[in-house]
Amino acid sequence: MKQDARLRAATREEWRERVRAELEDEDPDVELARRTPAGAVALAVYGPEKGPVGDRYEGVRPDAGWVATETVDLGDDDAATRASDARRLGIESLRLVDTSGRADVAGFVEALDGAGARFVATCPRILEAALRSHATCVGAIDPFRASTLAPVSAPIDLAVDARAIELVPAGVLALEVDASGLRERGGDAVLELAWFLASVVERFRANAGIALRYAVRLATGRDVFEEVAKLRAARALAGTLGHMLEQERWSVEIRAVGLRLALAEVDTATNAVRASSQAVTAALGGADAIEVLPFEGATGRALRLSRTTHAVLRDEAWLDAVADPTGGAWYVEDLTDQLARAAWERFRDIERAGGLARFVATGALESCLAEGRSARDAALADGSLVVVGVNRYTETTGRAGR
Amino acid sequence: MSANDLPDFASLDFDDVAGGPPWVLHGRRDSSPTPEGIELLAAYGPSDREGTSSTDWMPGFAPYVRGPYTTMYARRPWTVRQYAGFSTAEESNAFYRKNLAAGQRGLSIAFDLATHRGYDSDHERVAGDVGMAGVAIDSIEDMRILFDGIPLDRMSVSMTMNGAVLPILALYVVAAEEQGVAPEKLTGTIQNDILKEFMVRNTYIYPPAPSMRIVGDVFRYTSACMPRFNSISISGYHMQEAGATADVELAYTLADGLEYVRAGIEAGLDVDRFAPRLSFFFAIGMNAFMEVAKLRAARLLWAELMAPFEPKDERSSMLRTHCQTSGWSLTATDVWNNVVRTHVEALAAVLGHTQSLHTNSLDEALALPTDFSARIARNTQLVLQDESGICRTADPLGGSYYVERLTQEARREELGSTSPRSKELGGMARHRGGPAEAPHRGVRRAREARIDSGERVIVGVNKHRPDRADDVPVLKIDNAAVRARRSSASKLGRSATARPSSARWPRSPRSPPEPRATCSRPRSRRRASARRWARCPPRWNACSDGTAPSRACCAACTRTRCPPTTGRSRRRASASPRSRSARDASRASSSPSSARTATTAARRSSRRRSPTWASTSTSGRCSRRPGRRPVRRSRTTCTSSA
Repeated sequence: MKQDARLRAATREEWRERVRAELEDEDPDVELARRTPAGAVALAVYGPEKGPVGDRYEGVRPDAGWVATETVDLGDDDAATRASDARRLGIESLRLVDTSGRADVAGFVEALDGAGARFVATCPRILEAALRSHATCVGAIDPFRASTLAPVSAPIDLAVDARAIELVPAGVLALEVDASGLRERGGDAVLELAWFLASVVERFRANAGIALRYAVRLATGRDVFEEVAKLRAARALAGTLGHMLEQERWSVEIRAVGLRLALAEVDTATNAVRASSQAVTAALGGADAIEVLPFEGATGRALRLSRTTHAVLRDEAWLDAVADPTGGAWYVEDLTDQLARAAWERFRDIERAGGLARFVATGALESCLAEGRSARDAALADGSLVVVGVNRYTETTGRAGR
Repeated sequence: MSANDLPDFASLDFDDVAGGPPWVLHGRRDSSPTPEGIELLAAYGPSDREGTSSTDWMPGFAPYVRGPYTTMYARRPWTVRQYAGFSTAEESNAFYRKNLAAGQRGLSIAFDLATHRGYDSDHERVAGDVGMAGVAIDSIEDMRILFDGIPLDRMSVSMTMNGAVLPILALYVVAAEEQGVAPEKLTGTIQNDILKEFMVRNTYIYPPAPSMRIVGDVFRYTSACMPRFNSISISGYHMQEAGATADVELAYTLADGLEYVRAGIEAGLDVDRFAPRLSFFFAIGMNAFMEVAKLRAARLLWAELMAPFEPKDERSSMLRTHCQTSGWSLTATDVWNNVVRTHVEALAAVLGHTQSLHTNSLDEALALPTDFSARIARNTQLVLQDESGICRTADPLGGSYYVERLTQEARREELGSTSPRSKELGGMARHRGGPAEAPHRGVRRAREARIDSGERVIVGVNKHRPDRADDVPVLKIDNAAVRARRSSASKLGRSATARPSSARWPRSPRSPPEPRATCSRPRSRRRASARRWARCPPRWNACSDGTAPSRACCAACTRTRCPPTTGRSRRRASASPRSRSARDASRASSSPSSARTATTAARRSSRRRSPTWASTSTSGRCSRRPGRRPVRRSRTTCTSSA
């Protein structure tokens, strides 16, 4: 295609000179640079000089599309109804938890199995019961999960991995690193990635070279491009780790779940926008499974929207059409590289401290999370962290939806 | 590897460890191409960026692919400009003020259909339209009330007005002057895009030639007296709403733009006097990456198309645009999905670097927005601005293999299809109602067929259809009450300049005063002039062949029967997103696609025939009876009555 000769190219230096004049002689790369929530530096403009770094990020996503997932608590009275509704609205994978510890897993699974659901078992008991019922089931066993959800004093039982692997046929996904809870408690994207690396290595050590297939569950927060870059970095780091562990059949499934902390407790209807943003971000980042949060708790309309969002994004917005659609974007590639490097450094810190179990046991994790919470509270208070309807645009003039 | 052989990770630097094996998947996707005919690949890679000039482009530099301004949203985000207006000036004013207090940054005025077509609210032909799809403005008193408490020297105001552009612009100028704001301080946009009215939106009043003269007059006036005001908003929005794909929308909008540039030059203006104030208006549909590519390609193409005019001012080649999320994509069932749709579209608009944005409300397929739904719509933009972090960097998708390739594809599609044909036909103004309509009609029919067959999924309509109706509060406008209030206000002398429909107006519209290099007239004289315009709704007896109106000519067609504006002729305006949504909801049938209000509207629009002015001109007769307000009529009507 011939372009008009009068439209000449511009260099980054020309751009800098012009902006410098607009900024009264300030350097735009300093004056306009901003930090992302996880501390990466974002410049006001990027060009080819900040391109992809080697092959590390080439093809960071092996397939287009995702599995629509929803978590069901088997301890809830309406668990069966809820799961059935979810299946009817296109949810392909049901992530099973049991907060009561006494739920009839087999009965639940058998009732739904005919509908062709894939179950994701979060504890060996559920995994075992589901497999006994001949359901299509994968594991999401994570001995460190409890540490991410609350401070724990009990020792971490790493042998649970071996039991889980025994339960499933060879090669079937059984293990997960669930780092999403860290974000809910104040951790940032870099900590999530470092946690993933440290957890796999720790469990590899404890279980004599068991790695095979893993899933990593990450929370998608509000910062679109940082979260996209995080998901891409997770895949790149997974590739690096598999290479180092010399695992021939190594693969990592990335599961994304919306960050509940990013939803507001007031003006909850606006959370529908935030939940949509989290889902879009996960899709752009190349998550293999996506879980959309209901925007206002478990109301009928919120649950329905959390389920139909998948179909809107796939069938109407074509977000599953192209793998890694942001690949090659100078800004995204640079952010991906920054996050991957920062996560690797944090991982090395954990390793220096004696590994993940020790990192948890010594309270280093809790102080890290507490620091994150304090920083967030301070930012909310001084307005540097804006939450629409909470500390800006607080005037709610509209009628609440019924 | 055994656990004992693990490396000492603590000592390994990031650059010392290799990446995983590269993954390459670079085949064609097993799916149908996009509606624009672009075949998507399963993945894109470095080779897809080769051959483009993307590495040479920077924001703020021609051809502005990466945004018209150097730092884009990093220093100033887009303007949150919600299109709104309903009922009376008082109610709309209260709505605007509430929205401004809640974070909206600019105003976008929706006028009702009666005002669009130049009727006063008490005219019998528009009884059903008053205040329904926009605010009713009859007089300077209404305009005064509309902007009461809104400082026009600091508020950018966009007005969607085309047919009746002269009186509305005049009223706005006078309302500002009464606030003590001189015209040269006014910022905002008047839509003033009459070409797309002939093609899709249908609220034109005069035939093409005099309509284009008015456009040129507005250019002249604003370039002389309102230098900060955009004299036109060249609109593709309504084309996409009527069924056009992104490439067709782009092609015809740019072709319209070229026609306006020629009109400005024919009006005797130097290109740099008016071209920097040309603005554009695009729809943003659900195919997010296609929309991003469309906006990038639009800027590239506009810079290329303007080059032959040899502008000295670089702003003349800079395409600046307002965007609105698609009304067509909204559904009347399962309306909460509309929040997701609007969010995706809004994200695409800002990643494509729009200058201002309207986001639709979730209930707009049912009715005009309530305070509740308007808040979610506005917050969609505020969340993007303040929570998503996307303002940090200009053109965050710049360099993306997929986006750069798609940008070039969009440019190629546009150039390969419509633009050359438009040139062959002699410009957009000369083939209204002819070939210009054909492309989007065909696309629309194909799209509706795919929806009806289920091939194209619309969630809540032909997939995951809900068992029961949504429980959302909707805003209902009591049209009779609006008219009653306006009538009583008029009797009390509130609308001093409004006259009953039986009043005799001056016979023909007068051109606005010849603009001068600078507005040297005393303000009082300017005000008087504007007031004169404000009081005088345009006279609608222009002749169908585009010649100057005359009584003799009009008398020649006294046999013509003027249809009322209700029914079919009113439905012609259904491509207007605002009016379309509310009206169609009540008419949704059980067919899958008809449950989508916009689809229904588009179908209705396709039934009508556009008036073909050229064909009626052979009779040399005016299309209306003397003393009546304008009517648009099809070739059939004119022929049968002749």
